[in-house]
Amino acid sequence: MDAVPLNSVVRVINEEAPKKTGARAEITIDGFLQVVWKPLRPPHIERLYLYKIPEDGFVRKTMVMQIAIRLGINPPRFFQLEK
Amino acid sequence: MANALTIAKNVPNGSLYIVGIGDLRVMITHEGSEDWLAQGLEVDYFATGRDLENVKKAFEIGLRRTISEHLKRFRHIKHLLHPAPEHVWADFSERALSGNLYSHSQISFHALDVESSDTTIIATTEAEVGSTTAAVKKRRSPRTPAPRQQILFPYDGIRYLASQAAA
Repeated sequence: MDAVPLNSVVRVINEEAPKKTGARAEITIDGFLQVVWKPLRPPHIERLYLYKIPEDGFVRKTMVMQIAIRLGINPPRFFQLEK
Repeated sequence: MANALTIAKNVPNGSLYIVGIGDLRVMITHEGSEDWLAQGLEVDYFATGRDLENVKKAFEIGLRRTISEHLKRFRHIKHLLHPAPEHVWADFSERALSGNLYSHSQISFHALDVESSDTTIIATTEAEVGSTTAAVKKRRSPRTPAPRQQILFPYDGIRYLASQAAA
């Protein structure tokens, strides 16, 4: 599977990201994926990014992998939902 | 080294911001059948797209929205000025010798808490570094401040490094 529905990505981030990071994901009113977290490693400065998602509402694997790396989530967790 | 500048002005019922981030290197990669990835180096922002132009546009739009959200939440963009992870820099070092470099500049205008909040790109420039066919594009919204701000833009631009996997 090369893409994951945006709703699923949000759910996995909110459930799987290490709790210490306080990571939260949501979909903005204009359809961007918003991710907020505080890194475990210093400097513990809050990170906040908005990512443009294709109009079909699926987050491509390339972006999922990058998000997973930064949030410390095992990438397969995103794709297992699609099986 | 990337530069960033924020100009803020308080107005009745809100604030106006003009933000410029420039001299930012962006590495663009495309592996096999996967989407294109644009990854900032001095600023850890990334975007994906179906082709080279699409990923550049996604980077530009996404970075502008991220800046706007930082201004709403923090009233500054200091938290955004965080470099990419080490593995990205290592990848950049490997690709730097074989990739194509692009330069892209962007100034954005953000009206917060004013009657109708607005976010607009004032100007963008983009050029392929080291090429005689440099393409430069500029556009300005009719609702944005006078072009004087464009003249004052102090940055060289965002530099794109695009590379494609060998066949």
